[in-house]
Amino acid sequence: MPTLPAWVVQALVIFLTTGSTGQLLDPCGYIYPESPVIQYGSNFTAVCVLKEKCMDNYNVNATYIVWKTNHVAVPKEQYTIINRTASSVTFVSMAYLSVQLTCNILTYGQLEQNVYGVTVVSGFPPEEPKNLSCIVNEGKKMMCQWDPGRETYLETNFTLKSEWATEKFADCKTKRGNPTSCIVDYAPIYFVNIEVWVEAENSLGKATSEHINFDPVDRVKPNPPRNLSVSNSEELSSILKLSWINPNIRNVIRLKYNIQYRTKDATAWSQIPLEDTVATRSSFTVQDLNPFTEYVFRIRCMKEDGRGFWSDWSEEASGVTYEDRPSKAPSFWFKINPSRTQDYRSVQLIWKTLPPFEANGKILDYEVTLRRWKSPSQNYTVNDTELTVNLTNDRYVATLAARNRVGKSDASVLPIPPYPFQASQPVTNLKAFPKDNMLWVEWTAPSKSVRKYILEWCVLSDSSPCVPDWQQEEGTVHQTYLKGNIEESRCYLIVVTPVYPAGPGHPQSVKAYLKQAAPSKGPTVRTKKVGKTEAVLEWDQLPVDVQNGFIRNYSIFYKTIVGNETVVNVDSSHTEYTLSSLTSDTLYMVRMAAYTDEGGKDGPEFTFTTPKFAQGEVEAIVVPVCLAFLLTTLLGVLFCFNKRHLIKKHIWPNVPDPSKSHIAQWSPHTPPRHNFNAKDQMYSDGNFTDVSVVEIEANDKKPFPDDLKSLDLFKKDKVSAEGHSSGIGGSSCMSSSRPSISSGDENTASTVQYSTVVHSGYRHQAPSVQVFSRSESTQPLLDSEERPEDAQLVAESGDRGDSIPPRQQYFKQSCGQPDTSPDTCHFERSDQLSCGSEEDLVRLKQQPGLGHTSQPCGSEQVKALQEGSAADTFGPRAEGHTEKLETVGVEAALDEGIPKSYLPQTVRQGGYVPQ
Amino acid sequence: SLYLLSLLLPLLSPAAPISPAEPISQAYSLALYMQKNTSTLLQTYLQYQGSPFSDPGFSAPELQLSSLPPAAVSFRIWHALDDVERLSRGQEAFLALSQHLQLVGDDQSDLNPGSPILLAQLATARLRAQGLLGNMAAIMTALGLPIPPEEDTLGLVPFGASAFERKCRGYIVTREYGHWTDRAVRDLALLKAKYPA
Repeated sequence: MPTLPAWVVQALVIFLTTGSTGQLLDPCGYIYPESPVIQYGSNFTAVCVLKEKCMDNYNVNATYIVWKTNHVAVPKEQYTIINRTASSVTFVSMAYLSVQLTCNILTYGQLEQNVYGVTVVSGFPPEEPKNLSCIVNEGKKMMCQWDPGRETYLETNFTLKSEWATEKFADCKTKRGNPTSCIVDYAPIYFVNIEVWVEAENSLGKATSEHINFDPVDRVKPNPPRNLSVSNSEELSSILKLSWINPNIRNVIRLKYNIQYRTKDATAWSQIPLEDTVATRSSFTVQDLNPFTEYVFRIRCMKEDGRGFWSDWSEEASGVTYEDRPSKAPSFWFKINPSRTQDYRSVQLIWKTLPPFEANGKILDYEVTLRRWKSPSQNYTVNDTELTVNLTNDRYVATLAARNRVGKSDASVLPIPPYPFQASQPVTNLKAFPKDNMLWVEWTAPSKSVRKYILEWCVLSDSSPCVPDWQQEEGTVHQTYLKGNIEESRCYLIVVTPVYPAGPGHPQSVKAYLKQAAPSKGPTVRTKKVGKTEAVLEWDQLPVDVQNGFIRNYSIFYKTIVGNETVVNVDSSHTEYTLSSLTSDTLYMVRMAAYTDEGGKDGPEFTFTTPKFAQGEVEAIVVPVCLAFLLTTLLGVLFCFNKRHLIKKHIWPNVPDPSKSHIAQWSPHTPPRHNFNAKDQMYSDGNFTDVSVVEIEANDKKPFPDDLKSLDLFKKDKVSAEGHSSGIGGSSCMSSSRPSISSGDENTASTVQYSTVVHSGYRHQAPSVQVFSRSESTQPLLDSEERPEDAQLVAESGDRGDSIPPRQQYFKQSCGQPDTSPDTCHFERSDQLSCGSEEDLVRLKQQPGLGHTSQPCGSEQVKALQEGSAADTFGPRAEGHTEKLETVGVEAALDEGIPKSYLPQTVRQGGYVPQ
Repeated sequence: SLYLLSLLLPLLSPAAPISPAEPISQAYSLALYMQKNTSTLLQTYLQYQGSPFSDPGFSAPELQLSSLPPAAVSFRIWHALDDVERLSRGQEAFLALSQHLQLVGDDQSDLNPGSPILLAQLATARLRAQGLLGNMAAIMTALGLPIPPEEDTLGLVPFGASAFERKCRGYIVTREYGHWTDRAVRDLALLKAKYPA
């Protein structure tokens, strides 16, 4: 009674609560029904009846009752107060399989006191048991089993009942935990029909199965036959005899059998036709077996008429059929060893062991014969599967036969061609392809009749040599599969050689894979050349060991860091590819994948950067630029060199050495005009002849009378000019580093030019010829002593900063000189303010800041200066100034406003012919 | 077991008239099967009873039980019987035998309580006799023959027999069980030939 413990617990509660009042084990009330079992989902009503005594003790009545299910109060709506002592509760459609229902009372202070408790169990009535069936295992009692139907959730008893027409048998009660089968406790009585049925019963109902009526002998499962044994026959190699002991049920029923057999290594069983074993027996001879083969047998039995059950299989027994002579000649082939002498060759005859089903016994040895045309045959008996013989270069015919205990196989004939031999007639359309997990080879037979075909094959690998395996096929075959351990993803080279009666034909080969796979490695791509917008990629063919299949094509993936990947497919025959339309100066990532029919594999990624300039582009820019620069420089140098005298004139004018001059001497006498060459004239530009004295006086703004003084002044003036010129010379382009030297060099040249100028000037200024007489004596001295003088002069000018202002004073003074033409003075002034273009140029040169531009010996300027200097000579007064121009040179003249101002002045003076 | 026949009637009557070949064959198979074991039963019984029963070559054909019809019958009489009479005699005999085997089983439980093999064989023999009885009733039903009325053969058996008397009684029952089984095989073979499947 499963509900019992529940209410015992409840009773304990009551005991504890009522214990204080001394009412042991006397509950305050009861619930009816006591142990309710209801159908799942049905309605249920329980009543709690309180005892009068208890009601008095607690001062309660039925309205104080509280119902609880599993400790949860039931809603009041489900209560019904029947009378003062009884309250009922109703549940509609009980959906609990098991629920604790308690009756409680609310005592003083809302304290709940448990009165009584029951467990309400719900479930289903049993269904009718189905599929009742019985079996009589031989030697055991009858067992019946059935399908109990749906779960009842209640304890349900199943009873197997059985009876004869004349007798009832004891009920078979199912054991707990196995309510679907039962073994009766009486020995089966065969040949008497028995009626069997099952009754299922629980608290909610009872159900009876269909009655079945049968003869137990038709439900027998015999024991398997025992002591199965197998014996062979020396007379017949194709039979084995089985014998066994029948089970004891043989005494009651007749049997039929089921015999199965297989070769030892096979897993699938073959079966002796059932109709051959339909009657009781204890032995059977199995026929049509292969010789010298181990077979395994097993047997089972059942009632002859098929009523009942097959027994279990007997224990297996095995036997070996007797040997027979080999049924086939072995495959036979030969190899010619590379070592050969003039007259003999070493030939290795090779053959295959016969498979057991062809050997038909243990092969004891092989008989080999070798026969040369019309000569007696040589015989060999070999245990191995090869024989190496030395043969002459003649044609031979070899035969081979395998021998076992019973007999000898047919002979395999192999023609060995003479040496040399021209093989011909190959097979055509050789193909190899995988099918059904085998590598098939197919070819078209040659027109000539073929005795047999030899197939040789090996794995192509870079790591191991080609070790060929081979097989032989009949001459009628043109399709076969390779009978060997063919691995997947390996490249097989298959060679097919037809063998004609005269000898082997020309071999043909083909490559194949049993199953291709993606390459195990991708190709490693690298750049061969990288250009500005293109890159030449190159890679090596994948080694055959990693190809795993025929490489069908490559894919090149390339991308920039940010860009999308671009894919190019390349035929597998290439090992080079040019990526074009790349962006210059960009990092590219490129990788390659090689594809077989089964997939591809990426190789490592390679990174390269396209250059900013194409190859030679930089050179194309830089070299011309450099060349141009060099050329310009050279030209400049050349020009400057050519015009060095001009430059020198400007930078390093020839300065007459005053200390060597003999003014005093030449002042009084007038040098003969004829003595004046151009040079002399020029030197005499600062003439201190009578006329020139006047001039200088005018320049210095010194009064006429003091000739010597004016000379000094002039000297001073020169000194200052020198100082300036040297300053400018320091920044001269041509001889900046050594102005003094260059100017020294120029002296001679300048003299030449000078002479020209003077000459022209002289012509034009014929009236003032005498002016030049003064300087003739000074010139040679200057030439030789110029340099030290200059240095001294520079030093002097540096020391005596006051040398200039006095000279300027001269100007002013000269302006004020009554002797000098006021016009001249005026001109000098205006000279500097507004002069012709030449003068402007000159002035530009004057400005030290512009020295750089003006100094580089621009030919026009130089020319202008030349002209200017030439123009000098126009003005009659210019004669006096000419000397200055000479000595200062072009540049020097520009250095100082004053000497320069002479030029325009003279020009104008030239222009002012009337003056 | 005394009410067997009364049970038999209502159970077998409503059965649809079926071919008699099947129950005849079944009864014959049972009789044959029983026949293989009757000598074993007799030998086992005698073996457990001690001397003189267990003596080699023990035989007492003259001993008979009045409550058990003898199986021995002259060929002329047996040949003259018709199917119904043969089946009725057989039924009568096996009804008596099953009751007597029950009695012998009870006796042996007292006399040889430690001989489960013998008790099991006796129980099996009784059940088989019972089964053959049922098969014969089925044949008669199939043949549309009236089933003979019940007969309380053992009512007259004296219960206060001595051990020796009980051993002798057991000997007669097991012996007659064999004889009647032999006779049943013959009867049923004849019937089987008459009603081939």
